[in-house]
Amino acid sequence: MPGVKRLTQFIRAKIWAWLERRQPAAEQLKLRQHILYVLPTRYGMALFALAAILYLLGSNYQNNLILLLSFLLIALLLLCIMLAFGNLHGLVLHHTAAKAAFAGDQLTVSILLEQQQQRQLLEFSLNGKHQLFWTLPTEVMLQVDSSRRGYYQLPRFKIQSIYPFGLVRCWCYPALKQHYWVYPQPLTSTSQQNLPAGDGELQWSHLSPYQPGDALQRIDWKRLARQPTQPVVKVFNQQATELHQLVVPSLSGAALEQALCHITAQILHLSNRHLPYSLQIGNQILTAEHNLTGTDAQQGVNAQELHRQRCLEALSLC
Amino acid sequence: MLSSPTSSLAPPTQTVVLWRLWLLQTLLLALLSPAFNFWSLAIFSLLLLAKLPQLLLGRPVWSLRLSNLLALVIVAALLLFARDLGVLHLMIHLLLLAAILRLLGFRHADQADIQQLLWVQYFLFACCFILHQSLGMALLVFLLLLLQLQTHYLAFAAPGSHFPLKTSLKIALLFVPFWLVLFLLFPRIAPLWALPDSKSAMTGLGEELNPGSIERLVETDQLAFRVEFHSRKPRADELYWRARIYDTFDGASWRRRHNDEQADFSRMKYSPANRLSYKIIAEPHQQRHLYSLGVPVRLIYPQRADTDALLSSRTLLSQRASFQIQSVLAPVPDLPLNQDSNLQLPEGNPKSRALAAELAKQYPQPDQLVLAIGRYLREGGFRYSLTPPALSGDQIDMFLWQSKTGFCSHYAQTTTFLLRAAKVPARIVAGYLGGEWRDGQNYLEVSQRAAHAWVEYRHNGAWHKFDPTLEVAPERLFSSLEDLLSATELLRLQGNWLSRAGFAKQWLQQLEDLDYYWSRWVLGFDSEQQQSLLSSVKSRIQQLAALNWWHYSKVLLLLLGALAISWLAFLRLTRAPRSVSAWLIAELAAVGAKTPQQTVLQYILSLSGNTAASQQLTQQLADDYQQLVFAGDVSLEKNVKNKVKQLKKLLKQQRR
Repeated sequence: MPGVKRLTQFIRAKIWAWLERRQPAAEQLKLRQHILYVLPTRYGMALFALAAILYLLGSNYQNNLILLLSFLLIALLLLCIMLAFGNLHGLVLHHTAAKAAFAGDQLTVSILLEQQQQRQLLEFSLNGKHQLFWTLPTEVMLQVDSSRRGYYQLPRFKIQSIYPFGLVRCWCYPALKQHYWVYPQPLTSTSQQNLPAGDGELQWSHLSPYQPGDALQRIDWKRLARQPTQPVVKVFNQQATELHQLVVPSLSGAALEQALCHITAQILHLSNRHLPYSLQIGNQILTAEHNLTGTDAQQGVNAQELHRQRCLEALSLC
Repeated sequence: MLSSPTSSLAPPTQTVVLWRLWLLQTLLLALLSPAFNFWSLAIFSLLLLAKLPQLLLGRPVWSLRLSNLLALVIVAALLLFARDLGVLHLMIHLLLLAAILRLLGFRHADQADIQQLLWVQYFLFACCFILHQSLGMALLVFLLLLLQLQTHYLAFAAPGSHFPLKTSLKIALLFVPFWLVLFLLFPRIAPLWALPDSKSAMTGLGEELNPGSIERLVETDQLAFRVEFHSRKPRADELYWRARIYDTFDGASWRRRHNDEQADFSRMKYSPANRLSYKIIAEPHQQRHLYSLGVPVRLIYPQRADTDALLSSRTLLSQRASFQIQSVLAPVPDLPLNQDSNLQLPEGNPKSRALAAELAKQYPQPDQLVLAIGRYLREGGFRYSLTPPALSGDQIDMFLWQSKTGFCSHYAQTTTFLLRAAKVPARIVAGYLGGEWRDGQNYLEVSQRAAHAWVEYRHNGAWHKFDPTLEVAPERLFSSLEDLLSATELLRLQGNWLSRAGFAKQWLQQLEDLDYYWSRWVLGFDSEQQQSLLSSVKSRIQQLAALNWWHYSKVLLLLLGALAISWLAFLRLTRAPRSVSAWLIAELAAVGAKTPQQTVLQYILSLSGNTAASQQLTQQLADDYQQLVFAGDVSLEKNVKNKVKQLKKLLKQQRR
């Protein structure tokens, strides 16, 4: 029945668009009543039916005690609406820094929770994977789809709960400005056999004062112990010091993907061996020096690590 | 935490829940045992015992096939051998069987199992209320219901979590009023269809009357019904509760000729003083007949009256039920229907017939004849006794000339016989005489001990009451039975009398009063009372609306204002004084927010702006602030505050 399928898809798209307008993605989100939905579960319906049966039974037998039981069940149902709502209401979700993984690897995104005490049996669902928490931790890991490279925002996920009594379900579809990277999958091609071997070929040259951005591995630790105020780094003469120029070919489709995978593998290979490399995508050229300007250098981020990250991110996006 | 490809919103069922379910089922079986016979009780107990190895030793649960097979066998056995249980009891059997078998084959991971089990058990609780309605039992069932609710909670809670007693008590504060309001105000419907009744033995006055049947009834000494009068309280000689009529005599016992014709006495003429309005709370007797004084003039469903003005219910009285009755103390008007049957007599009793003929010759008018019969009984040396000698053969002759000792039924049947023999239509009416006023004359309690039989004879188109027993024992009207009986007769009733002696008697009476009000207000709460409750609420609201609201609102406003002021003062007193730095940050937030990494000094300096004046000002502010906070120079506080305000102004100007 393709017609029905198309109709459900249409309705689903409408609902999704409505949700988008109602709750645009935010960095922090407190679950309030405008995004929480409450409806009885099937069991709740069954219990309501029982209350109706008991009402008829009590009326027919003119038995007030049975009527009392019937009204007790109805009051319980109505109470559950409030309790189920209260179980989700007020929970605060925080985004975290973007995580990254290579395509095909498992990638979990973590979300921080606040006000999570005193809540029970919440289920987090994303992409058909469900996690039921008996009590809530401060950090929830959601596994995301990492099959295709790119820079993504965490899709709307679902939080739901039928606590207490299982009669009423309260749920919501929160959207967080929670991003993640999926880098191209590294594939080693035959042409990469002749890449330089790396560390083994390094030769000690001289010492120089530590500057922010220098690799921690190169700090002369023995000296640092003697003179803690003046860290120095070892400088190596690289035999193969020539810059490896990696160029993304102007391809498209599967060929581009293939090329990106290979370049990713090369970047990993080179950065593991601390060899300099640059990446050219179209007119844009990324070099290690390029990264050393500005705040990053001040904050002492490992320049090579940063360069690698920049390059991989650029590859994800091209 | 559980991670799964399918959505399951509740954890697997815990063992504590299973134990509770088992306990609940055992208690339900005990509560529902009146619906079971010996064999079914034994089978169900064995099934419950079979769960214990699973719970204690961790034996595997029964397979679905085994459960189904057993269910099939037991249901077949029930249908074959226990059909006399009745539909209702059979239904209880099936529900409990389903619950127990499901527990025996319980699958922890399957939510459907626990859901169905709890559902069926709620239903079984309702069945308990069909069988038990007394205050004590109802309280017990509601206590068990609390256990069921706790089990239900635990089944859908995180493993290891406890029932939140404190929170639930708080919730109960909201829940209980809501529940009661639903009960009080939710509209009631009339019964839609007849429901299957439980088959229990009939009690109270039976289908036939013979000398001795009333005596047996008196010895049972159970509660028959209780009455609350809304109109004036009737005198003792008016308390003749009509319940049954016996009009066909076969020489040994009296029966009722079939009378299913309904009658409406609402257009009867009567004086308002004779009209009585009262509520009867009748104990179940598994029959249809009700009790009324005189002629019922207004019938409220499910009451109906027949042509003899006897009140009955459309359904069997299988549970305690209340009826609102309006009746008139007047002779029952005679409807011109087969009157001849009220003259029917079998062959025999020649001496009595002769006596009747002689009296009839002397007193041709029925009312005079009745008085003459009364005089004959009063002066003939008759004795009132609970243990009269047995009669055989020509019963009436034997009673009149040999034994001369009898209970009310003897006198009633003898009088009826004599009247019929004298061609005056007459019949025996059985019911109750008097009752015991309880709780400061609030209500009347009528027990089987008040069972009585008297005579109605037709005269001038109406049936008049005549009580021949009073001719022999006139005290019967004003004193209870025990005062009239001899010591040996009392001994017969000792078993029942003993419980009503001394200290125990007081306690029992208190309990009976409590039970009465339970029936009156909880069991007997019907749509009529609902209406009166609503109208009383309405009139209260109207009374409130009539008050001088302007005056009251002024007082209320004053009170609220005083409360608000004192609350604010309290807050001001208890709140910690705000530090200078917090004030400064809040004040300057409008021109630039402080990041968490910055110290207050860094923050002030970061606001320096781009003119010389503002830069100078920030530097001064920073110096003063340092002096104030770190050197404790309190005199600078005012200075700092001024500078902060100046800076704020300056920076705002720069922005524009």
